[in-house]
Amino acid sequence: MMYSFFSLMTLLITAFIIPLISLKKERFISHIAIGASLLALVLAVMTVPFVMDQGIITQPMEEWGAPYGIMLAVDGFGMMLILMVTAIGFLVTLFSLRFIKKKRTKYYALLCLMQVGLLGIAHTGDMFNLFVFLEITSISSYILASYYRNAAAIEGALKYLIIGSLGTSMVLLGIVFLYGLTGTLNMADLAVNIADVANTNPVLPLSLGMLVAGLGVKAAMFPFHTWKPDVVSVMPASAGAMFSALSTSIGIYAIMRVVITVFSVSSAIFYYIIIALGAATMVLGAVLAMQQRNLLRLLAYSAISQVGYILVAFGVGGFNPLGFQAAVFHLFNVAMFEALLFLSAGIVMHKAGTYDMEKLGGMARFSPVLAYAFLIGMLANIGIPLFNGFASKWMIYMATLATFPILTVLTVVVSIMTLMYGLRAYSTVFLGNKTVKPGRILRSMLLPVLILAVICVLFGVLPQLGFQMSEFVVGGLDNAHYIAAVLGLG
Amino acid sequence: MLPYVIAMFVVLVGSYALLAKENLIKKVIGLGMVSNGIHLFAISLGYRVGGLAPILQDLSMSHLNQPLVDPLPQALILTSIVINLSITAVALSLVIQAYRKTNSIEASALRRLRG
Repeated sequence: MMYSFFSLMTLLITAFIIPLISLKKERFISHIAIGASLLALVLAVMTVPFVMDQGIITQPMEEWGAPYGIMLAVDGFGMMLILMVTAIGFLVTLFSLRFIKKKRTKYYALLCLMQVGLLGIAHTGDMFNLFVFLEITSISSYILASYYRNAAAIEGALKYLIIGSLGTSMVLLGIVFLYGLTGTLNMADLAVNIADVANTNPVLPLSLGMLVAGLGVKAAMFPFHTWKPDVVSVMPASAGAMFSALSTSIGIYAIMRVVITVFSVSSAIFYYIIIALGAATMVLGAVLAMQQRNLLRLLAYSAISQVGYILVAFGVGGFNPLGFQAAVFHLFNVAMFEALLFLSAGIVMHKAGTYDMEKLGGMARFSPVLAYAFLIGMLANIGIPLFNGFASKWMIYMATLATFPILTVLTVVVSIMTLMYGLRAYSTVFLGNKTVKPGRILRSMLLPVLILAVICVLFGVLPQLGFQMSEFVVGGLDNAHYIAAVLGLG
Repeated sequence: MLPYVIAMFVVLVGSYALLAKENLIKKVIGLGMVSNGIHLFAISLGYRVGGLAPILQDLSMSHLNQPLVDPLPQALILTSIVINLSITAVALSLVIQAYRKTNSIEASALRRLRG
C-alpha cells in the first residue's frame, strides 16, 4: 500500500489550499504548512516496511496498468529519497515559522509545490511523468529564487530560468527521441525495448546524452553548474537549504535511474565521461569556494564540489559495484550536512543581518550551540572521522582505489582543499574578536539544526546503518527485478 | 525527413536567440521558439501518411484497420505546451520586475552577481 503517494497528494492539496485560506485568515498559514509536512513525513515513514518487505512496490494510476497507463514504482532508492525529501521538508518548514515574516502565502505555497515536484520524481515509473514533475520543481524554484525582489535576486532567477529551461528542453527532446525509437514511455517497458534495440541505433546514445545533460543542469554538474551559486545566494536561507540539498539529490537520482534502470549502460566510454565531469566538478567547486566572500555562495560551491564526489563514485560504479553504494550513501550524507550548513547560515543572517564574511565575526559568543552545529556540518563536509561525511568518503576512496588509484589521489587533494575553505568559513564567521552579545535563538529555528547535527553524528559513529542502507538500495537497482515488478503486475 | 530537419532548425534558431541576444524580451521569445521546435518534432513523429484522426467512432472498432495518427505524442505535447505557458508567464513577470529595478530591459544591466 503506497502511503507515500498520499503524502504527495497531501502536500499538493495544501499548496492549493494555502492561497485560498490566506484570503480570510492569514494567521493560520504556517500552522497548515507544518501540519501538512508532518503528515507527509508520517505517511512516508509508514511506507518503509512495505518497501523493505517486497523490495519494490508499484501502484497503477488507472486500471490499465503498465505499459499503457502510468505506473508509480517505489524501490529502495526511491524510498530513501522520499524519506529525505519529507524529513528535510518538515525541518525546513519548522525553521521557516519564525524565519520568514513577510509574503508567507507565496513562500509556503511554493515550498509545498517544490516538495510535490521532488516527491513526484522519486515516485514515478514513467518518463513523461518525470518530465512533468521536473518542471513543477523548476518553476516553483524559479519563483522562490526571486523572493526578495532586489535586483540581484531578479538576476539570479532570470539566469536560472534561462539555463534551467534549456536543460528541461533537452530532457524533453531526449524523451521524444526515446518515444520515436521504441513507442513507449514506461521505464520498465523502455528497459526491455532498449535491450532489444541494443547498440545498433545511433539515436540511442544521442538520447542518453540529452537526458544526462538535461538532468545534469538540474544536478549542477560541471559545464552546467554556473546557475547554482547565483541562485542560492539570493534565496532565503531556508529555501536555499531545501533547494540545494534536495534538488541536486533528485537530479542525481534521476540520472542514476535513467542510466542504470532504463538504459542499463554498460559501455566504458560513458562511465569515463561521467568520471571526467565529476572530477572537474569536484575540483572547480573546491577552488572557487576558496575565493568567496558571501557565506551562501561558499556553501553553494561546496555543494557543487560534493556533487562532483557523487558523480565520480557513480562513474567508478560502472566498473566496480562498490562505487554505486558509495554514491548512494554520499548522496544521503551530502543532503544532511548541506541542509545543516544552510540552516545555520540562516540563523547567522537572522541575527547579524548579512552573509558577507568580511563583516561577520565572533558569532560563537552569540551562541556556542550554533557554533558547534556549524562545526559539525563543516567537519562532516571535510570528511573527518566520527562524522557521516567520513564514512561515505571512505567508501569512495575504497571504490576508486580498486579501479583507478589516481582518482583516490585527486579526491584526497580535493578533501584537503575542502578543509581549507571549510575552516576558513568557520573561523571567519564564528571566531575572531568582534564584540557580539550572547543571545538566545528561537527554539523553532534551533531545533531543526540540532536534529540534523545529531543525524550527522549518528551516521558517523554508526556507519553500519549507512552501509546497510546503501547495500539495500543498490541491490534493488538491478534491472530485472524492477522490470518484473512493474510489468509482471501490470 | 523534412519536418524533423525543419523542427531542429527552429530549435537551433531559438537557442541562438536565447543565448546571444541582449534584449530580455528577445530571450523569452527564443525560449518559446526552442519549445515550439521540440513540439513540432514530437508531433511529426506521430503522423502517419493518409491517417485519420484517432477518435473511436463506435465500439465495434471496425475502422481500426485503416491508418490512424498516433494520439500519444499529441497528449504529451499538450501537457508540455501548458508547462511552457507557465514558464513564459514567470519569465515575463521577472522581466517586468527587472525593468522596475534597473529601468532597462537589456541583460547587461543586471550584473550584480560575480565570481
